[in-house]
Formats: sequence, structure tokens, C-alpha cells
Amino acid sequence: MHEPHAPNAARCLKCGYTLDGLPSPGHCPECAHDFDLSNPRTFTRRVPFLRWQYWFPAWVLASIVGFASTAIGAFVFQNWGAGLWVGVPLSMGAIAGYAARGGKLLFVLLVLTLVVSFIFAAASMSLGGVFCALVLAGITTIPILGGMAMGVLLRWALKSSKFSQREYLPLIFLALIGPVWSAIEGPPPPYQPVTVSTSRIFAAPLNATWKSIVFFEDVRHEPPFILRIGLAHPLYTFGKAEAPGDQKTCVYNKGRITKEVTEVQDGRLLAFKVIEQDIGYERDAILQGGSFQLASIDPDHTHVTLSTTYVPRLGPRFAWLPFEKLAVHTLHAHVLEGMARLSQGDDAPSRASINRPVARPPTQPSPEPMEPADANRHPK
Amino acid sequence: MRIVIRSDWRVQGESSMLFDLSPLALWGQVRDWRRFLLLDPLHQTLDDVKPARDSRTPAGTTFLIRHRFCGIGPTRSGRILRWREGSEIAISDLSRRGPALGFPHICTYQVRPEGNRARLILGVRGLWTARWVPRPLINLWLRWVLLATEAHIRHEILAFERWRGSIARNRARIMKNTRASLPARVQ
Repeated sequence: MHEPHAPNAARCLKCGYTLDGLPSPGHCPECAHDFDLSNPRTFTRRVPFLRWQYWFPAWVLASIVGFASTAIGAFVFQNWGAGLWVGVPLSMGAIAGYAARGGKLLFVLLVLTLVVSFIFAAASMSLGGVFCALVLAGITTIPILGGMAMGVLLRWALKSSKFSQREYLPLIFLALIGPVWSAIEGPPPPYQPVTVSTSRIFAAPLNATWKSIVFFEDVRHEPPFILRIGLAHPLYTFGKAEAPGDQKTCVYNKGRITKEVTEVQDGRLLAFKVIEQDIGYERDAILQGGSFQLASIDPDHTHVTLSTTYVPRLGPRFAWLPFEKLAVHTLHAHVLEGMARLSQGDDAPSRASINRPVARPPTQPSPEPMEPADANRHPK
Repeated sequence: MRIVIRSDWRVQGESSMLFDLSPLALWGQVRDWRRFLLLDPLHQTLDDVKPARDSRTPAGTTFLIRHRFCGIGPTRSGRILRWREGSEIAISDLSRRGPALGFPHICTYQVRPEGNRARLILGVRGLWTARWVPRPLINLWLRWVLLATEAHIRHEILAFERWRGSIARNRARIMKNTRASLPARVQ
């Protein structure tokens, strides 16, 4: 007959020596501590253990599985969606929940450290930057929590069962969640372009506002925190953006973006398309274009709408879209603030002449000479 | 580690491990035989344990050993053949179809002093009955079983050593705190 819960051997309270089979009452042969096998208070049936063994192997296993699943999902199956950002964290949480034993505080700490592990795995494989890491922290916490609950429930269910392979077989299945999900989901589908618009009313006449139109790379004041950590840093620009067909290139620390003006309606609309994008975010989103739309409210106020269109690559869309919108709105707000500062001055520069006064790297020769910038007019 | 497969298909394997424990402390762990036997990677559970009557030691105890490899395996019968308090345990591991079938063998666990430390010698002796299996494969199989058992034992004893260390540190800390909290005249 199968005995899943045979009692452990009696052990000395002081040194852990196995007391079963020794004359009782008596003394421990190793430390001489008294014991009486008829009195449970004089011995223990607990096996000597180290507390960290209850959680550390589980955490290491979950982290290794997360690292391997991320690599397999992203590089083998070219997945960039729910399999990677939901399936892998779910699998990590489930493994930790199944294999670790401890209190509520331990599980909270495990969730936090697994989020960090997953972000570290993604960052170490150059799958994301700092902004992506912060977004991932938000996105992955819920699947990790859900997976952990699933793992704990599974362990409770199997704890009293006679399933002889419960020690490792469920772990193998849980570890396969991420790769299998990534394999089924495959590469990202062709998502529809997304247009994000931000409006602001300027306390300036239409003409002054029109002259103040600047691109992100031309804005001089300090960008907000999200943009500082999330976007590449513009180094310098060249080209102009005044008439249809004009091209303007901004060189960043990670690459470049070139925009081409497609439509200009003087005082009303400046539209452009992005004809070259190579700044390291090509796996996340492909920029398509944007526009500045101006409308006069009264002689002293102008309504400005800034739009950006991009093709998203990240899934699931419901998880990433809010964060993408947050990033684009923040970028728009930064550009609009730059425009507002320029429009309120009486010496707004033309769009062709605003160049950042930074040293040009020797390996990136500019096709056009860079014009000197007016540091006094655009203090940082 | 030493594995010998003789021409008459008798096999013998031996592996030894040295631990930073006194022989008595190591024996204190080995004599928890129900737990120790399950450190073999093929031994899943011990069932139907029947102690021998009129025996002062566990010698003579019979039991069933559920063997599992990747979830598959037979249930075999076992018996504690020898129990030398403080130094040795020997158990038989036989097929329930008969004592001459299905690799009948004996496992031994011996504790020997070596200076201040203790050596555990793990041995297996038996008759290989599946004679169609190539000898190098038998060697490889036995080597894997012994290595895996050795790894499990090392892990178990290492955890025990650390536990003792942590207990000793806790005791020292409690003693120190108690001394510090006592009035000077009591100290």
C-alpha cells in the first residue's frame, strides 16, 4: 500500500541526530540531550532544513526559464506579442508559485524580483531600453501574479494526490508555456497604423505660432523624465522643412530619422512623412509621419493640433497602447511647449535654421554645414 | 568511483564521499534509513514497511520500493539485511518475481572515520540479469545511478551541515544577547 505521508524519523532537538530505534527514554548519542520517544516535546520530526531552500531554487529556476523562454520566443519564433510579454511572465510566476513555499511577504518579494529578472533578461538581449523596462514592469506584474496564483493552486491540488511525478512534470509543463505560446502566436501581425493627436491653445497670433513650429529634435528646453530615459538623444540636425519635398534629418546617439515635408498650407498645415528611421526602436514601432494643424481662434489665440502616425509592432495591443499613447502625448506636450516658448518671443527662428549646438562626431560627417545656434535665444 | 562487471555478470560499484562531520554526526543522518534510501534517483517511495519482530535494531525490516524512471518502473521488495549501529547499513533490492530475476542487488552505506572527518562509502553488488544489454551501457547506467545518488547525498549532508552551522550561530547570538542583558553583578 502506498503511504504518501509516512512520518519522518524522530530527531534530536539540539543536533538533529536520528533517534528512531534507540532505547527510550535516553540520551542523544551525539550531544547527550535527553529525549523520550513517548513525549513529542522532547524530540522533533522536522527534517533539518535551511529556509532559503524553500524559495531560492524556485526563484533561480523561474528566472532561468524566463531568460531561456524570452530568447526562444524572440529569436527562434520571432514573437513580439502576448507570448513574450504575457506568456513568459505567466510561466515564471507559475513556476515560482509551484516550487516556492513561504508566507505572503515572500511571495510579494518573489513577484518583485521576478519582474526585475524578466526586465533584466529582456534588456540583456537588447530587446528594450529603460522606458520599455518601466513599461514592462507594469505589463508583466499582472501575468506574474496570475501565474503565481496558478502555481500555488496547482501545488495545493497535487499536494495530497498520489501523482508520482508531481515533483517535476508540472514544472516542465509550466516552463513550456512561454515558448509554446510564442510558437503558436508567431511573428507580429501587420497592425493598423495608429494616429495620436495632442491639441493646445496658444496665446499667440496665428502667424507667430506658424513661425514657431519645431520638431522634437529642435526643442531646446529640458525634456520630461520619460523622454530623457526613453528616447534617443538628438545630436544635430541638417536639412530644412519649409516646402513640400524638403527633407530634414536628425542624427541621434543611436541612429537617425529623416522626415520629408509632404504638404504645406501656409498658416494652416505642415504635414510630413518619415522616410528613414534607424534609431533602435524599429522592432517596437515604425514611424510613418505627422502633422501640425493650426487654426486661429481669435487674433490673439491659436489652436494647434500635433499628430503622429506610426505602425505598432508590439502586442498585445491592449497592454502596450496606453503606454505608447502616454509616450507620444508626452513627446507632443514637449514639442508644443517648445513652440509656445518660441511663439511668445519676437524672434522665432525659421524651421531650417534651428540646429542643436553639439559637437559632431567625426564618424558622422554632415552633408550640409551646420549653422550656429543662438544659445541665448534657446536656453536649456 | 569504481564499477566492475565480471564475466559471470556479477556487478560491483562503489563510491565514497568525505564529509566535514564527525562519524557519529554522519551516522546520525544515515540511520534515518527511510529518508536516506530515497536519495537513490530510482527510489520513489518506501511502502508497506514492516519492522522485524523481536529485533532491537531495524535489521530484518521489510518494505516495498517503488522504482520510477521518467514515471515508469517496477515496485520491488527490499529488506534491511545488516544494521551495524554507528557504521553500516545493508539492504537488499529484489524483484518481486523472484530473487534471481530483474537485477537482484544489495546496497550498502558504510560510515568510516578518517581523522576528524567521516567517509561515507556507498556500495552496490548484484547480478545483472538483462544480458542482452552491452556491458559499456551497463557501466554507464550504474555510473549514472551512483553519481546521482552521490549528488543527492552530498546535497543532503551539505544542507545538514549548514543547518548545524546556523543553529550554532543562533545559539551563540542568543547567549551573547542574554549575557549583555544581565546585570553586571550576575555576569
